Amino acid sequence: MDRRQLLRLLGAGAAAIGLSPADARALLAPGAPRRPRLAFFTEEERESVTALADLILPATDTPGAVEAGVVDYTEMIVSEWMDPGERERFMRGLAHLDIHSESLTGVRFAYAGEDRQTAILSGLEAEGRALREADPEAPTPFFQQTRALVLHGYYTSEIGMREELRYQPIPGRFDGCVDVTEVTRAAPGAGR
Amino acid sequence: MSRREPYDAIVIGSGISGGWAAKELTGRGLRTLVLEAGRPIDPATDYTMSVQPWQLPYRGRRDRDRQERQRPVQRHCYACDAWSEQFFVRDDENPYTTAPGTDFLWIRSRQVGGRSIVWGRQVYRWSDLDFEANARDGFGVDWPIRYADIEPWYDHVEEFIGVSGQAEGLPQLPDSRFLPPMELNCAERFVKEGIARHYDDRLLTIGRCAILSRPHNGRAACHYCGTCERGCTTHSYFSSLAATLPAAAATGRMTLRPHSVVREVLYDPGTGRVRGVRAVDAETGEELEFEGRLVFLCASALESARLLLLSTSERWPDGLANSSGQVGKNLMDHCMGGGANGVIPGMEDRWVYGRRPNGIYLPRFRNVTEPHPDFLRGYAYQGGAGRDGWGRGNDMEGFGADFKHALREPGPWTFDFYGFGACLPRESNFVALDAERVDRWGIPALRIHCQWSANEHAMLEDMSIQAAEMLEAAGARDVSPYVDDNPPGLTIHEMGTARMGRDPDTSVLNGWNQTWDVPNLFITDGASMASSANQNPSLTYMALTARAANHAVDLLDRGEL
Repeated sequence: MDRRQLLRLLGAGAAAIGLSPADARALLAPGAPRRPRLAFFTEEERESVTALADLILPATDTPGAVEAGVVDYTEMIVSEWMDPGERERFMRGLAHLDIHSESLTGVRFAYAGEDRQTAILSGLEAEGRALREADPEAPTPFFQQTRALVLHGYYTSEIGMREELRYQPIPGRFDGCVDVTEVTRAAPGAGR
Repeated sequence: MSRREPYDAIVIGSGISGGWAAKELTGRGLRTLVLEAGRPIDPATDYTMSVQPWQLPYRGRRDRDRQERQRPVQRHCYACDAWSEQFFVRDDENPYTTAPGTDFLWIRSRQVGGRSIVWGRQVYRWSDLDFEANARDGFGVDWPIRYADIEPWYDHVEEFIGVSGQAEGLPQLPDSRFLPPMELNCAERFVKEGIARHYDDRLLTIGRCAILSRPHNGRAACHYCGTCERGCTTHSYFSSLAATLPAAAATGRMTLRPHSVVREVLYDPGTGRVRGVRAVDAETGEELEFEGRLVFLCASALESARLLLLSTSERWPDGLANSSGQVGKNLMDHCMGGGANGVIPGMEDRWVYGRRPNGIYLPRFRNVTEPHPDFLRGYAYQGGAGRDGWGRGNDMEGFGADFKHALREPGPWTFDFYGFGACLPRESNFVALDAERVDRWGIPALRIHCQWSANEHAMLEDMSIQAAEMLEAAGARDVSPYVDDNPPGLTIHEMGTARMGRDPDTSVLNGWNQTWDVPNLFITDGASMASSANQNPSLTYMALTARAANHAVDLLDRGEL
């Protein structure tokens, strides 16, 4: 639902569903996602994270992860939210990504070009999957750790929720069994 | 605050029970003081219903470090998340201890409205199968009441709070006065039909919940945003803050005092009655005293027991109204978490619209007509069906444009049965005052001794096996049975610590929730329960509270208190 549709719903139906003007204002408030307290990534690391986010959830007919602010989100989670072990694993993986890319392509990952980036990432994914299958209790491998960050960062962003998931904050009714359509496809879990 | 003491009545606690006591007592003309240990809550500013993930510091991820420091117990509750953790107590201010080798997660709220702001909203009547259980198998003491005694009070409560559900005519689960039921979704209908084909003793129905499926008593119908525990600014689910406390306030006879931590109920040996309470102001530390002709303890099962144990005097060295020695004993919580899940094939072009804050219910079928060889009493399932969202991307292969577009569509239908079972009343599960720990206000903390017995373990196993069998029978694939190892407390249905009974030697309360020992002292929260049944208990607390409050006023009117 875009803002205009939401406005229309709230304008026509806010009173009917009992929403106060304050609720309506809150629902319409433009998103002001928090940025990390401090710059944490080096410029090189930032370039790598940007390339990873763009490869994992690119812009298509909707904006991708980079446009949705996933790079800032990742920097915030890595620097402020992760525990030291998780942070170290992520940063080591990021450093290894460039070493790996340079050995294969002669340039850092961010400059390797989409085809070679995709090949490198696919290799890392397969490696991570094998690690997980061998030991399900092992710490999350770098690719899986990164993809989880990009997914969460994207699908909890205003762009990800409103434009990609078509999230409707106030559905207004419940229908138990309807066709999957552009209107209904938003997952009930969205917003959790 | 105007002091118009003595008040006609003092209610301790403003949660689901206290709100009902306040409404009924003020409704019958009593000037009533409601003392709440926690802060006031203003839905307009405190509820987080309209807060979206991108407006939160970590997009809805919990701040693990802060929760570890401030709420190491509360964080185990699903609702104690980045939106709602402020509705749970800080464990560092409200400590308790557990006996060695035991574990108990005490999940609690201190605020105007209590836990009714974050409760699960499921409401089910009890039947005589439940009220006769203790008499039948010998655990605990016989309830002094039967279904006929409480039935009109269930009606009374339901008409006020609004309960959506489907009438099914089951003897073991009497129907409520229902608002229209919420719909089952496609996969739930599929499983319901499958179970109906294979079992003649089991039935799947929509959950019965205190959420309005149409406008009711001035409150708006649910708008299906799906996250009730953040607080509902349209008051579409019942809470004392949304309904009973406003009704009590509207009489002009309620005085509500937040930040009032009651530390003692004061006993007058001259009259043999309680005369009021002593409290401490949670913010200023000021010592307070209030007088009332009647005291209703509605502080939650464990807090009410704690308060009786704290209220010692020459006459009551082991705790107020404790001549039976049963105060703090017979602690119960529902055992939960035996279950199974599976994939429901097909229906890939079908989905739901809206986020229904309610699931399915599969009522008790064990020990209803045939005795089960492995355990006493029974259990019921909650749960439901859904389709995975973007989170399944973490378990898929790939990345890129196709991956992104695949996550747009809902994943396969999955169905989950999650069991909730009865807990036997046993004296060995009890609370006592801890000799060493005190809370932030210097008040002795509780030490909890509670463990599941073999009966609960056997029931959890059966929950898991039966859930898997039913899913298989209904046509589910990839069925996985499980038994969660949940410690007692986490179901947040703690009860039994000042039980009702027929004999003053073995129970704390008579059939009107009135203490045998002190006629003007009533306890109407979960402490009063003589058994646990397997139904979610809040509806019964509300009905017992309304019944007790009206009885107390009848006694006052007749000059018998």
